Amino acid sequence: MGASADILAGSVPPGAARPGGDGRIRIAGISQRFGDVRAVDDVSFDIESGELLTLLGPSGSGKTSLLRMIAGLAKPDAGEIWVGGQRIDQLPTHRRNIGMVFQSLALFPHLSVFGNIAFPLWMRRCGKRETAARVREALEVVRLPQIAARRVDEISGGQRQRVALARALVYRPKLLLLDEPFAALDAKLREEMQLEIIRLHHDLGITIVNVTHDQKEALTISDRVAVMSEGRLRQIGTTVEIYQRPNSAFVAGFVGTTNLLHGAVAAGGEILVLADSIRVPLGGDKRLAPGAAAALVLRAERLTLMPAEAIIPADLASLPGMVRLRAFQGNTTLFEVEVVALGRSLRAETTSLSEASRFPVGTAVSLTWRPQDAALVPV
Amino acid sequence: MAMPDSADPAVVADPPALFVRLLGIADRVFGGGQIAMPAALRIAGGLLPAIIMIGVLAWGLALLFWYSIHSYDAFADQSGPLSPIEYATLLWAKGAGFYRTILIRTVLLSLLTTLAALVLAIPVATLIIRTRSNLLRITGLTLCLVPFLMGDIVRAFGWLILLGREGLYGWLSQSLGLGQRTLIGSALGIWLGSLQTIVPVAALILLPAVRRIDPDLEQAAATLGAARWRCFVLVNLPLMAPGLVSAGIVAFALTMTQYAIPDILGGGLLPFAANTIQNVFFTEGNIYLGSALAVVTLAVVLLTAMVFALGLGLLRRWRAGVQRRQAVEIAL
Ligand SMILES: Nc1ncnc2c1ncn2[C@@H]1O[C@H](COP(=O)(O)OP(=O)(O)O)[C@@H](O)[C@H]1O
Ligand SMILES: [Mg+2]
Repeated sequence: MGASADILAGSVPPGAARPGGDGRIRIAGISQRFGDVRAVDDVSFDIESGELLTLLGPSGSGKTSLLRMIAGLAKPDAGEIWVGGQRIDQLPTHRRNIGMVFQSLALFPHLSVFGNIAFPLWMRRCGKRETAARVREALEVVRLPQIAARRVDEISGGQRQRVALARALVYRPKLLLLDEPFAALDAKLREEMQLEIIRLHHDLGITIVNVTHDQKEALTISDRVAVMSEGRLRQIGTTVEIYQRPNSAFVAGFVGTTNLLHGAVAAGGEILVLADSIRVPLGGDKRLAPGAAAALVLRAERLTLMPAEAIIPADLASLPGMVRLRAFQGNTTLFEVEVVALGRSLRAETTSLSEASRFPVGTAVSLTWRPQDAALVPV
Repeated sequence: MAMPDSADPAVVADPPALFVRLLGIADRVFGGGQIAMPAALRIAGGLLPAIIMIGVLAWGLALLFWYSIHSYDAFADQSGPLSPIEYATLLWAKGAGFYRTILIRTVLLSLLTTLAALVLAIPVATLIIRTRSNLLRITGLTLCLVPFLMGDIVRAFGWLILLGREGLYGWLSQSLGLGQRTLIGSALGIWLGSLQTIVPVAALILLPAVRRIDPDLEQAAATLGAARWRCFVLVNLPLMAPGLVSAGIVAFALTMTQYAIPDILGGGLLPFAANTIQNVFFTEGNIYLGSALAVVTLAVVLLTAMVFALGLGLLRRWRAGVQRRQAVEIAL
């Protein structure tokens, strides 16, 4: 993508190792409490230079607190923060050289679009010509030329997002922090901005830490995801790892449309005993000892409906049920299938329209899945 | 036809509403509901008390101005012919120095008080708005209101005790071996005494302006590389500017027209315009010269207010112009 992007990134091709100060980040044992609340509880992880990591977690899980400590807007009670080989947790915010986009965007209402983007350059005492050139580049990078003279209250919501991004990028920080800046946008605009972030990340090769409570966004834009709850880091890994190999019922339940079947491991780890001694085979994941309490993670899209009278292939696991709800969602159709033996409903999803049309509400079905598609997590 | 409306206590308690109702009743009784009450009349009815108030005020001002452009026949103790002599006496005739000194003192001390009040009001208002502690917020607000609850004279005498020879200041200066000093009769004393009411007024007027500033803006400025003071100068100050201008105008007008504080804390040595107006009106009995002095004082207040407001407008225009030019430059 264009010369302008390269200028902003300091003419380094994306993905290449950066000379000198890079965007590696090390979070080591960071904690912060507010009274009795442990907002962030002993969190440690590393981020590679040029990586896009998303902090994912429900509201109140400490994502914003962690981000604010990286930016220097709050002080950790314990722990260290390193960026590019330099310890920064003692530096004041204005000396950290980190870009941040706030949820409220925090555009300066008394300055024009130009003034907003030029602000960080003024702080760095850039010359007039350089300031003008860099503001123009930044506006081109976010694909918003021609609006520099506008007031920030005269432009649309999507344009404001891009101006906030341009302002956080114009001084070429090694690290960009995003605190749910798209949460307030309508679905369509939000998707567009997510793609914009992917594009920018690819073009600029900058390290990005993004915060969201939207698991779909996390999976869409990230290289890796760090799942948080109640101030603790629950799991960190690539999007595929997080999705396919969740390490806990919490992570499994938070990411994707998931059915959790609770039970006890039996028969040398081959079988999970559900309620009323219903047994389902396991996929050979023998991390859990026999007798351990566990939950089987059944992703909705991994479940296949079959007619109740059909003969089920020996390599599939199955549960009998009855279709209670069928909802056409455009690209998929969602089923809610009541499994009387378990006293609950499971969700299944299919992308095939012909399959969906075969199972109207009230049909008796078998819910089937391949055992190796279902992860087992401790509870 | 029964007219229960007229007995409605809420309506009786609200004169403008009552006026409109009466018009409505008149309409029903005399016009059989055929006459549509013009909207202008309704609005005029609602604004009636304000119109009466402003009318009375305007009438008083007109009278003041009318007196001020007449000479005073001291022998007959009555109005002489139309003449600019009162203004000459105050401003440019030989011997006008006496009044000019008073006017200059009033204006200078008022400007100094206004300036100090604005400087002090910013942290006070910021504290009240930004503190997380409700107790602190309520305490701050209460402290801002207390000076108005005690009345001019009590307050001035309080300061008399603090600043006088027998008071705190005298005791302090004596224990420091400087002799028993006093601030009564000094400009510093008047300035301190004025600040006690002007700072809270300025702070209260500033509150909404400070509240409108999103705290995220300061944090954003910090991440963008602005140290605390630059953020204050480049973000907080411009965003508070309209509030500062309002507060400044009110602070200046209130100080310019002070009576009790300069009278008591000035020890009669440093009269303000209001003290002199009182003196000219009631001791000398010269309502013509007194009126002229009042008109001059008023003119200074109005002119200063206009300069403040115009200054803000020009500053904003200039800033917008600079940004627009820079933006146009990069569009080329
Ligand atoms: N300034 C604060 N004072 C007191 N409690 C706070 C403060 N900031 C955050 N918290 C608490 O810390 C926890 C984490 O909050 P936050 O980091 O905002 O979570 P998230 O961004 O994941 O929604 C919450 O329980 C919140 O109530
Ligand atoms: Mg948050």
